[in-house]
Amino acid sequence: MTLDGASIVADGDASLASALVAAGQLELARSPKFHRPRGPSCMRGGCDGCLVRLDGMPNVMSCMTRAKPGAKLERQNVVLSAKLDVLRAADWFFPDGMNHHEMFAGVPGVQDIMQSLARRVAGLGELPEHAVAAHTAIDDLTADVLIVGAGLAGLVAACVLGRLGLGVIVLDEGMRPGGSLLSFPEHAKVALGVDGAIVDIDELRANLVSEAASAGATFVAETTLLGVLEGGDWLGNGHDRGLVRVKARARILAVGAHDGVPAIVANDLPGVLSARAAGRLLREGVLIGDAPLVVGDGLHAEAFAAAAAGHGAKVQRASLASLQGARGLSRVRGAVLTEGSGTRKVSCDAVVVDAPCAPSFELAVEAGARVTHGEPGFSVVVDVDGRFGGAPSGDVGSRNSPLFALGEVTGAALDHAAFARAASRLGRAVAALVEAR
Amino acid sequence: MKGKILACRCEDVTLHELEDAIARGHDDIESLKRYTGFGTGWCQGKSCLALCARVLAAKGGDASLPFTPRPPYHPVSLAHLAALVADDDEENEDSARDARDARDEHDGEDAPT
Repeated sequence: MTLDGASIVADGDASLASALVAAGQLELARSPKFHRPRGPSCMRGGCDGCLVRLDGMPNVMSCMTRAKPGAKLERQNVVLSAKLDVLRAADWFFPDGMNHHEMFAGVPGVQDIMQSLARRVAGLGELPEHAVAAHTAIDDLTADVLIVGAGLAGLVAACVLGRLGLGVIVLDEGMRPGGSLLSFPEHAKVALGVDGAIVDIDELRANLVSEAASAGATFVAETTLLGVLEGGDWLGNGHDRGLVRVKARARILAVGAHDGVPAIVANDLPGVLSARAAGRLLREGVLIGDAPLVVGDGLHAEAFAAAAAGHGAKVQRASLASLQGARGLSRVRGAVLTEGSGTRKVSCDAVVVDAPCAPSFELAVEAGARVTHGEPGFSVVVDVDGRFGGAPSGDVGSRNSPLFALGEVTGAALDHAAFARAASRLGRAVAALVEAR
Repeated sequence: MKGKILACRCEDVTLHELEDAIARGHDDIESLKRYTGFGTGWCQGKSCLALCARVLAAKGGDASLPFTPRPPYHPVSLAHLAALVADDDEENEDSARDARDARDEHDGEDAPT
């Protein structure tokens, strides 16, 4: 492949983003206002960090796109050059940020000039080189049960529901089933839950996938749920294949959680990324740094730190509370930590952060769920069976609601035994619902 | 430590801007979003909403409700969505034909034999 004309070599079925990071290309784009450098930070389609122009098409999420031979990649939003973006000056002129309600507003003449400038430099990338042919067909799928998300919760639910004799479809946006289990380095040994024994993540994943398959569940990969259609069908984006529409008697959201983002200085600097992203990269064969600072003590931080050290990296650790910020002009060169009453500078080439994840509540709320706010974010409120009320009533636990949520989306921690217990209650409720039809 | 803390990286909204807006009285999620623009970019809040809600709650604001999530949950091209329109047209044609058939049938029943 090429990036701005320079050759990039990728192997296997890596994502574009991991191929770019492997080639040392961390700074991929520039942010819209301050033209600060951007690089991959979540590796799961939840941020703006890895957007590139691919074969003349802007805003391709390189973390969710397979590397392919001959791909022509270009950086976006760069003015002048990738190394020296002249608009970065805006970042230094406005150290606190910009208040667009007041700046240049209401000054005749100046306002118009600034608006025309803003129109030119803001936005994401440039228009595609070629018109794109419209998709004309939708893939219509029907099942007793639709499960959205093939992570730990989704796979556990697929096993339970499949064994109950229900027709199950599992949609997942990843290339392979596993969700956040794939954010652990390969063969990481992890205790998933308070009473959980230490398991090999890949043995667990393989067992769940084969159990779900032998229970009859159908797995649909690389399909991202977009929302709920009028009438209750759910619409997904099957990436290159076009739209997917699913009609199912019961719908279960097992969509997990977004990365926790720390409020630290330069939290957007390329090289600052989540422990889940670093684990996923390592699984794809890419170590994010030779001297990473691993921050936090969650499961993903522990697993990444152990695996990175095993690969010969000089791993440093710090607590989440002690991290003040990252240092570096266009990528991480160090970090600043609180020490005693002062601070300490450390030298590192990546800051890998494991902060509490925020439940991915969005689709559930769209479907009529209620949420509660807590420290990590907004969690979907479910009843004892895992049910949440359907629009428009929003009644939690309405006996007739065909909508369920399971796993991290409900604010639960990644816990195999707890998910299995919740899935078995949910399974009974779903079976009753499908039979009552 | 000096430097920008990004509250919303897609739209380049800083923590300072967020706190300034809260101090100006934008002390619930929806008005804070409308004033600063956080959560209105590429990721639609996936990476910033929890952080912004946490900051708002710590400042004594009302973080009980998120801003309204709307479809599409994930970016999708108009080329993809075009299939929905084509499908709708087909359905409309189908229902128009059904209506025609129903009317013809009805007319048939009423017709004197």
